[in-house]
Amino acid sequence: MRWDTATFRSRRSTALVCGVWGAVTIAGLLLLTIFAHEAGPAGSPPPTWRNGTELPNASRRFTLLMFVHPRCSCTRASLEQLARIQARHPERLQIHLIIYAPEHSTVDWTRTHQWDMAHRIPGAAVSLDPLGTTARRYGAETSGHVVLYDKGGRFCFAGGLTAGRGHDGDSQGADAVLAHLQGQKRAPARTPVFGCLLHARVPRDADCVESCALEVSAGDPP
Amino acid sequence: MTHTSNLFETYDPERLDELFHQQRSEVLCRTDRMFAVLMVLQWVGGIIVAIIVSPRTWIGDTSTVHHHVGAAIVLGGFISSLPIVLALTRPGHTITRHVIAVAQMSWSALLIHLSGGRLETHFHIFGSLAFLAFYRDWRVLVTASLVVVVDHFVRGVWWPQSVFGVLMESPFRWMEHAAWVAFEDVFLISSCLRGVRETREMCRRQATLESTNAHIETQIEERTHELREQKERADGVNQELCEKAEQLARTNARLANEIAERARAEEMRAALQEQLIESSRMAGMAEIATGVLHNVGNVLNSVNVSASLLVEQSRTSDIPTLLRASDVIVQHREQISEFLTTDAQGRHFPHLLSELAKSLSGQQERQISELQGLISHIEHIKEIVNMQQSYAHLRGSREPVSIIGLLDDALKINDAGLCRHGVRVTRRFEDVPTIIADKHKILQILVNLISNAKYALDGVDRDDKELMLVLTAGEDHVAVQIHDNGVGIPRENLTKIFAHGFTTRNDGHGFGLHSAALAAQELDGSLSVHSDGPGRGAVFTLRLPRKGDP
Repeated sequence: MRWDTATFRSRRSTALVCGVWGAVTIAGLLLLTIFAHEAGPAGSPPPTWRNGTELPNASRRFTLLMFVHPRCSCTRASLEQLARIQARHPERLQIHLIIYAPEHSTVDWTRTHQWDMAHRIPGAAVSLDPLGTTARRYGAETSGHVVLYDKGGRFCFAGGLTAGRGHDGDSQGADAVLAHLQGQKRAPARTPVFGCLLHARVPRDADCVESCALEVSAGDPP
Repeated sequence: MTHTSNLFETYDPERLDELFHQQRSEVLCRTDRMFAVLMVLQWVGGIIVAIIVSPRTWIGDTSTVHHHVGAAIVLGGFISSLPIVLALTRPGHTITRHVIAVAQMSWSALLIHLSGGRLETHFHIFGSLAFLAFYRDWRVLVTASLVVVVDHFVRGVWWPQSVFGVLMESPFRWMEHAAWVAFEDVFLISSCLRGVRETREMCRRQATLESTNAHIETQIEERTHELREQKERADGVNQELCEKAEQLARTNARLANEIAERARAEEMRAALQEQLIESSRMAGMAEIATGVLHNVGNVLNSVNVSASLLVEQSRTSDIPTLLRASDVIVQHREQISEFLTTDAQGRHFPHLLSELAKSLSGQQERQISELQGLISHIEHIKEIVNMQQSYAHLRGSREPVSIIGLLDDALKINDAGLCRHGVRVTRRFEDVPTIIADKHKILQILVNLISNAKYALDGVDRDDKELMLVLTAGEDHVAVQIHDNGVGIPRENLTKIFAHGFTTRNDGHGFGLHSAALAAQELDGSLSVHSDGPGRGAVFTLRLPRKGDP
């Protein structure tokens, strides 16, 4: 096949366009990936079960708290992961789903698909958390945040159950919860949480994001 | 070059390649268009998924548009843009389908993101690979698979939890994912290769079919051309035949007219011939009559001479002397004796009577002789007239004929003229048999020929004028030759001497020889002439068949 100058220029232009297109596509997907794995902030949960809240403590089972923003789409993956965990160890786990309700919110605002999913998890206790008070108490700032306490009310785990924003499937957090439920002492205690913020962050929490990340990477229990 | 294995497996390899590339180009262009549509649908679908699944991102009770919506619109649109443009502007090009492969795999990644990483969305990868297999180009599958492998490799290294859900995983686990893709690729690539082979085989059949059709069409065209040429030739022949038929019809009409004219002419000719024959016969009769009259005239001259002599003899006879002697005797009847004895006159009277008697006796003898000659002449005339009458009554009848007798008669008819012109006649006759023929016609011919010879001899000034008649008998014919040493005949006249109206005589009418030739022809014979030239005489030969021998 003969390539004259015009053909060569045309092909070179096409290759250049394709290269730019590919680079931009890759960049876009990378940014999307980075965004998908940008963990939300997470505060420090109390080391023991905080009595005095309206949440009942299960004396013979692990207590798992998940804080849910009813309009966070990423939390659907977290709820599905939680449903899988509950399905595997229903007798060992007491689940509390605390659904965020802002001030002056209507019922319709909270009755979303996530609300329905929460109510479909067998044995899960669903309660509203007006203004996110309970969430703040347990250091939860991102929807999908999970806190796990053992039968004695001791802290076991805090973090998300997904590998990214709205990323369904296997995740280090879900594996960690399962490991704790199976009594593994060296299971991770912290994983990043991916989801919408339950409430506007206070300046203090900005530092917490870094600390949580460090703690997660170190894998140390609180 | 043509590939041939048998009569119906002949194809042109170049045509095979052309068909294959055409077929392949159609498949590629069609698949490009399909993916162009698919890119639009995926873009719209991605936006819808983003709006449904993650329309907004929240911070407490405040929200903003989710990044996925923006990514679906902007990044999805960007991913779809170039494949659509290339599919529309450069369909079938290699770069187009490879860009589409990359875009399709990018869409898989984007949709996985937009769908929240649902496991079901990963099927988009395998579905896309199946769609890309529509190209029947295994390289496209390799490109798409490489995109998947590289994606998993990169994310496995930097974002392992995004792929495998865990942070610490085997660095080769991405290969497991790639292996599943390769697993599908094996079947798809095999299918592509088989599809290419089947397409090529189909094109080969198509090329073979076209070659066969072309061969058949060529044969049909050649045969049609031949038939057309044959038809044109047939039309030409038909036209020629029509023209010839028309010409033939015209010719027939002309011939019919000519035949009618010829029939009329034949009738006229027959009538003329009849008239001519009658005229010839009349001429012959006239010739004969002329001869007869000529002879009769000559005899009549002799008769006249004899009569004149008799008259003169009668006028000069001694009868008056006898009367005077008788008167003397009467006067001297009384003394007759005295007178005879005494008288001086009387004494001579007996001698006178004796002389007178002798004279009368001589006169009588002469008169008797003249009267006998006169009688002979009259008998001659009678014979001539009888002969003429006998020939006149024999016309048209066939009877035994003696040629010698006819020659004698012809000579007799012309005898007077021949004698008058001092012609010596010589006969050389063989012993020939009689033949059965029309006596009158033969006599007419012979009289004419002898008459012509007589005129020919009359035209020369010589003393040895000779007419020689030669009669010979051949095996199947009898020939009469009439030689003369007369004026002869120029060579140029030999061929037309028998023509009607031809004559060299001032008083001739050109009937004689012509009618003689016709008569010889009617007798199944021939009449010919030979002459060595002017002044050297001529020979006329009459041949008559002997078939009429009794």
